[in-house]
Amino acid sequence: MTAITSPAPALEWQHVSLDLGEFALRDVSLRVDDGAWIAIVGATGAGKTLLLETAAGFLRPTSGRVVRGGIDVSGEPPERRGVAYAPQDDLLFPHLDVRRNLTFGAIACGGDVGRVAELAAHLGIAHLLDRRVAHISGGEAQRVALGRALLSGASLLLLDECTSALDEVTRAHIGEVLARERGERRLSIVQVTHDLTEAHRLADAVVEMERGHLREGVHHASSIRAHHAPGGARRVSG
Amino acid sequence: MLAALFSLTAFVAVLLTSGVFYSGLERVAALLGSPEARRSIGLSLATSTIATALATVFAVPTAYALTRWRVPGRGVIDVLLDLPIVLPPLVAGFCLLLVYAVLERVVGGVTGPFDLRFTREGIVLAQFTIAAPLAVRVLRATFADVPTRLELMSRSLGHNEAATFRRVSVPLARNGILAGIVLVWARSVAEFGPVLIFAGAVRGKTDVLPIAIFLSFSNGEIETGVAFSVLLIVLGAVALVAIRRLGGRLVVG
Repeated sequence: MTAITSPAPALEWQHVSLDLGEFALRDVSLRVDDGAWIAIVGATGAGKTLLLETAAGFLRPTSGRVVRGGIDVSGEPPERRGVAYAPQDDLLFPHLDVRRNLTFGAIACGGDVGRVAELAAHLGIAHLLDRRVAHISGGEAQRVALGRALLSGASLLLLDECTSALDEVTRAHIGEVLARERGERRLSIVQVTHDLTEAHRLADAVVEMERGHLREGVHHASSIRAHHAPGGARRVSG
Repeated sequence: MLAALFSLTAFVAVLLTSGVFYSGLERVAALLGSPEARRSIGLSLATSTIATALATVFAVPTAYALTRWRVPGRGVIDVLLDLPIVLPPLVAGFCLLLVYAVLERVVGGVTGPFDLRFTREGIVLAQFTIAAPLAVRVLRATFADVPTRLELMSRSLGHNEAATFRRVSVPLARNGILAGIVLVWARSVAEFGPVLIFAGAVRGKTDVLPIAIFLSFSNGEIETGVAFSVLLIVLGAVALVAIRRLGGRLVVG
């Protein structure tokens, strides 16, 4: 096994497999160091979302382990994982307005509810706070889902195509907001994206998935951007 | 096709309005305004509301558990909970009496406040016997419509299962739950068989509306029976409109 430099990585998938027919994970091992930002890229159906959802507790692997902060959380319910997930389908609560969606996790996890107005302003959704989520656009919904994850106070973010509905300028701005939040709160981030440029610009490392496998080799962003923070993702060979 | 549609609709319409044509609206209103009728109506509304409230308290968690959890013996539970709905209602009432008969053999009799036979509380128990399984059946369909991914999202944001049930599942199922409550209430108001067998048909004591209709026709008081029937039809219509407005389903399963 590759030497592990950090005693307790933020997240580690250890030989995780899961078969849902059309989508599958096959013996995936990946480590996310504390404070690292890794991007996962790959074709549609490669298993990227499945991988995130095994970490979020939405899906349980048929074999292998999901380890969070050194603790095996494979059998733990989502609320005991300390993970904030912004999924591809947003999953905003339709019976709540934008403000209450944003603070939903903060109320339970001890996040900073008082930051809602400030964060909403950073994300460009301050004017939507009292609106029902049925009355906002797809791009706005994505930013609400991202804000909700950020406000929850969790130190690990799982982001699945969370800026796909945004225009390029807004996407770049949201990237900056994320980078600032990460720096201020030492967040670890695992981001699924189809945007390679964004992945290389923001992440410490880029890994590629193909048909349920991680492709050999990890593309460390440090080789692309020398001034990036150390650490990142390591493909762990068993 | 259209002929069948119109003739069936006309047949039901004639059926349901026959009472008004028979007695006239004024006479129906006058009969329903009598002290005896008002007491009977009050008893019906009170017992069916209490039975519905009790049924809801039991049915909401039961329906949620059966929809979301892997419950051991699920097949047996399904059949048991559905049986009171498909049984002849008289049998359900008879079974209630038999429970007391068995208890008398085992523990030497049930007396005092626990003996609900031929009492007003017995009316509630008889209505509850049908209302609770019906509520479970309706609410299961309602909870099945709540997306489980939203519940998982709530939990990933730190809310445990109980908090998620309270903050997400119930609010999202709210209209379905309300529609189910109205449906169960309407069924309880109209419950006859189990009430007749378990609580009896005692004028001035256990004569909820269906029992009052039965007693009126038995004693030749046709117009009183007609007036009560018209009232039940109106209550049923109001309930159906409410269910429709709430977007609830009448076909369950």
